[in-house]
Amino acid sequence: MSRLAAGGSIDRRQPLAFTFDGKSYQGFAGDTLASALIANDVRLVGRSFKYHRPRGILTAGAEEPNALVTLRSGARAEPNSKATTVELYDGLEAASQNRWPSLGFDMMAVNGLLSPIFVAGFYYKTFMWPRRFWERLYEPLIRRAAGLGALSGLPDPDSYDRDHAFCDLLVIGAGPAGLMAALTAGRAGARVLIVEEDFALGGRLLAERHEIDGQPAADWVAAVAAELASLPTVRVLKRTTLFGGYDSCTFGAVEKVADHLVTPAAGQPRQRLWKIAAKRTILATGAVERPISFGGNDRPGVMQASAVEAYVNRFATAPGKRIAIFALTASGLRLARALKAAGIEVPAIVTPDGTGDGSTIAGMVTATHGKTLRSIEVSGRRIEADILAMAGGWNPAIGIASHLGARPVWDDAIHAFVLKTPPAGMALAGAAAGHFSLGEAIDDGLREAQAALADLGMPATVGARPATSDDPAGVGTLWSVPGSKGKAFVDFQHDVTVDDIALAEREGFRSVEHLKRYTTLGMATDQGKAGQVNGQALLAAATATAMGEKGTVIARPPDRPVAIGAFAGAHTAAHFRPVRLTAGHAWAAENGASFVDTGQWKRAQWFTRPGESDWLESVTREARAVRTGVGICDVSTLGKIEVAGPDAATLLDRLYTNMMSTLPVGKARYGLMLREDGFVFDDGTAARLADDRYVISTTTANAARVMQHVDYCRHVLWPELDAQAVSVTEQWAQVAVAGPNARVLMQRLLPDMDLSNEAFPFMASAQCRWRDGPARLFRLSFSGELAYEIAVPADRGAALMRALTEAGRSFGVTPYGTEALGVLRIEKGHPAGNELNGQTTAHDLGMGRMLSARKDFIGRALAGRAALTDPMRPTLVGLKPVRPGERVRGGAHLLPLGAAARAEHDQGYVTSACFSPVVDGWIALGLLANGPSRIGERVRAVSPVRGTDVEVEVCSPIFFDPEGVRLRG
Amino acid sequence: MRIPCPYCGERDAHEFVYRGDAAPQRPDGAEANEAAFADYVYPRANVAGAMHEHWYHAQGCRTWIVVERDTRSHAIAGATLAREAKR
Amino acid sequence: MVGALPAAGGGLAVSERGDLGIATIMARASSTAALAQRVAERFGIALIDGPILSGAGAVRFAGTGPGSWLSFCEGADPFWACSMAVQLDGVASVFDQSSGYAVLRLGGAEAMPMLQSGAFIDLHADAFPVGAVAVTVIAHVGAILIRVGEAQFDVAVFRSFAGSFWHWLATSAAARGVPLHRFSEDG
Ligand SMILES: [Zn+2]
Repeated sequence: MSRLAAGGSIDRRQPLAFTFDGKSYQGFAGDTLASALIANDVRLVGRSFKYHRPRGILTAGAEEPNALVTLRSGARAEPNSKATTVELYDGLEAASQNRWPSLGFDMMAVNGLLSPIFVAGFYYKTFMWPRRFWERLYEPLIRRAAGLGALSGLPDPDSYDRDHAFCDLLVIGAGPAGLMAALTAGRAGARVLIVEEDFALGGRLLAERHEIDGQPAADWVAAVAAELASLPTVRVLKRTTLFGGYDSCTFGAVEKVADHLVTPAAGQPRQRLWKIAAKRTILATGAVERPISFGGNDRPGVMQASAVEAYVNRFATAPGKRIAIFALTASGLRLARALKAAGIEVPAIVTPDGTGDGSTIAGMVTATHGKTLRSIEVSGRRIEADILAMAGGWNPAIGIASHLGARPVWDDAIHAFVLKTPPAGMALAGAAAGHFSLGEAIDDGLREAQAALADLGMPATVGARPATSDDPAGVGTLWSVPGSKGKAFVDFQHDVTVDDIALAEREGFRSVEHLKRYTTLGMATDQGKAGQVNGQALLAAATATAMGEKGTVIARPPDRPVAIGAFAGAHTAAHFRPVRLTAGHAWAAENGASFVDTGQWKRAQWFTRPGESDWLESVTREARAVRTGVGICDVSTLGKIEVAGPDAATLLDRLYTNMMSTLPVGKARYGLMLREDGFVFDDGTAARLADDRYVISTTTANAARVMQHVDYCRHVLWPELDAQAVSVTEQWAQVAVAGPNARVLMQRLLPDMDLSNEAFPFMASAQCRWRDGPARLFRLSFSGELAYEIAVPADRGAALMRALTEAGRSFGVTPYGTEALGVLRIEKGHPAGNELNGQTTAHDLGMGRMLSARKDFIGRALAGRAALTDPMRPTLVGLKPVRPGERVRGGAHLLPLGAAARAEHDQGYVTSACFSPVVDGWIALGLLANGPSRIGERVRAVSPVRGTDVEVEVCSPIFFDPEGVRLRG
Repeated sequence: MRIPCPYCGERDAHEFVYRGDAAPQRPDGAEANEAAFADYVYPRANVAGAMHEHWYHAQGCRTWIVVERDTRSHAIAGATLAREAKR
Repeated sequence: MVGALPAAGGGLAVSERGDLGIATIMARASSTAALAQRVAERFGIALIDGPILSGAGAVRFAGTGPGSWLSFCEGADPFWACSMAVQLDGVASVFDQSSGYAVLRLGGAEAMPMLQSGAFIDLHADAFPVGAVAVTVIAHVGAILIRVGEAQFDVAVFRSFAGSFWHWLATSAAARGVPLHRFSEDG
């Protein structure tokens, strides 16, 4: 065990048992998985992506490239979890990844021996030829050899929640700068939201030893945390990762609600996705320490100095017994003091120029030795050490600001990319601003919070600035170490080396974006947080350009990997999207309906009766019942828009191709709407309820789009028209009653109305009463039969279905679904969604005469274009198989007989097909070039998808009752 | 992105439907010819900078609005009701 | 009305408001002032053209868009919208929506946090005070929110979405560990 006897922010009274690769260990509450592994002397935690080199824990934060583990098992397994950010819990189960058969002995490490071919761009160079080998051989091989953890392949058993937050000030990061900012703004009464990824507040104050106001920094953190909790306008979200900045200062964050529990409580989500809108934001995300690129810098035991400091001070562990330090920053000496205070031997402090105290060695680490680290080489001299802490400088964590379009610039004073001009509404504080000392962080937090308050017009209460022990924060640079032996890694997770950068440059990949794609530098799950800048510095050196001259890569959301489930939230499986149910839904379900999705609606597709074995049998029975008796069909999902006002008629004249202003009150008319480009948009009926009031219907699919279109005409095109319009789709349940017995049935339902042909003829409409409530009656027919549509308030929709069933029981009233509806309209040649597909014109559908020449309407001018009325355009026809019993399929292409089934012979396609009970065979509608003049001709209907090839005869699209005798009956 | 609806106040962009450039004017009247309409329907300037656009607050007040947006930064300078913008 | 919360409190009480007459009222062109005057005469209500609830009695107008309101009437008969059309003849178009919406009343300390978790509009009392109205979207379902009290909201959703909305409400309440109390209209 390497647990120090005292100290740290762990709770030694709460031991926690966990397993790693099947072996049992123990840690404490307050540990991360990484700190607990270190405490248990586990040095080897993973294998690298490409070469399968053994790797140890490098960092203590989210930039960790090596210690990626699969957390949990079974359906809850989560691959690529960073051990450095996993909060330890009792029963935690973790496994290493990318090794086979075991972590200690990995067969794939042979990749390391083949490393000369695994250089930058190796995918492009090696596996391009022969091409057919790619899918069969190379790709599976590479996927096995190079990879991260695997998904379980099982459905995610967890649930995910969603929340929204609004604040005056969003503070990202709860280190010294963030805490100071939140406190300052919170004391002034501002609505403050402070988010912190860690499960503890304090940021680097958890890992470093400082004094604030004469007391240990931890006490200050505790006092601030307590005060923040007491302020009513401040909300603190711990375990919450802010992963993205979006336009207008909105942000995405994910809160770990139950990730630190073995299994969430019933109903408890695993994570919660936050959408945040902030008036002002302070980015206090700190900085990420850079590695140094020397030979063997990836050997387990080589760690970031800041990480070693965290493991010793925060987690009370000793990562090694002899910890050498290789430092380019002043923080190296602070680490040495911390190690000595913890009783850990420091065999060497190495700095390139010897700055430091008397014990410092001037020089560089050029090589490392041991399976896990045993010794380092400095200027040819071997020094025994089991840990090497490298302090390579700091990269301010400014990714979130980059999401908002801010361009980082290079700062030679601190050798890092910084933001000189943060995005509007955002300020940077502390290390994120490139100010690395504690004093500066406190100053920044205070100042930026006050500036934000002033911006928002809120008076700041003046509080004392806490006194801080100052700490030296000098940063030097050393981008490569001359005389290095062995591979020097730049990107640890993707195994990109110093040599790879040089090779890419030699091969001409000299922009930072090209370098990234060619070498995959920064493209792993850590997104280059540790290695990106080092790689760019090497490129700058190789191209003899100043650092920063070439810019840097642009960070995009998410800043950290986020589980897809968190974005989906509750919208999975049956609740993937909202479901709309008609008033008659339950009634339909009780009557054996199978439902089909039409947009968000569930519509009854057919009603299975006992003894029916397949859908076709049910559909045929239903269609036959309508032709011979009477059927009822729920058509509530069709869009209904009421248009009222003195100019309602004028508005409809401009919306529809045909005249609606001449429609008398008490009548309905079929109407066609075009898009302004002249193609058909939608169809439906308009019924005039009063001089200044119409109700129009739309197809189910286009209901929202037509409403939007009507509003566009009212608000944008013709605001001078005095016409009001609103969707009443939800208000009315509407049922089609069709068949020779429809009048008898309707008369039973509405005994007080005269439904005779004289009083209520085809295309009549009326407002009436049913059971002492409002109702609307229309004599419309989609089926070609004597038919009505009755609408009642949706509250009474189910009652209406039951009443119709009761009233029609004696003559076998039959509920029918969308399939039978489709059969009936195909038999009558009525176009529907398949024909109104956005690519057809009125001419194509045989409705060219519906384009009025007496008025302007949407689409008028462009519908008249010669190309849109060309007879050679595919035009609506009927199609019948020549050999009885053969089946035409929707989507089949129409070709001349004898022509090869190739695109150049294509003359159109089948839009709709069904089995017609009245024809007693399969029939179809299709769009055929010059169709109407080819009646009687034979063509082929070829479906390469289904492998069918049927000879069909071109016929009129109206298969049944072409004179329309029945619907007027 | 947050869009300042003149009626509803600031709302998330997902409540809106985007249409595009608010500049083209429909050549009204039965006399307007094919060429005038082709010019209205098809060509669009690819503006880099401030642009007036039509948005529909579909999940809100169901009103068409004109939004002034900088296409480079997505910064929104303001919004008015389309009905009033036309006047 | 919402029944009393259990003594333990802290939960979320939900009741469905039935027997409501609902109508969309849209002012005729340039008639918003005339409509306001008519509403003042007939109902004694100062109608405001904005996302605000006007009226405190049996009839109320919730602003849903420019020159557009959703009007509610408690205990209305099936032809209430027709009578509204007569009352407002010449100054507004009236559309019956009495069956078009399911209206829920959410009460209790958790009502606001619950709705906030679904709606990306600021429901803080300073931004959304008593009487405020918002047409917005919750869990992909269009919703009209009306703050009727400090901790009391009416939520109207299109009736076809009621089941999906209820599913969201129930799962979100469970995710928060909030006990959900369902009341019928008569307690
Ligand atoms: Zn709006």
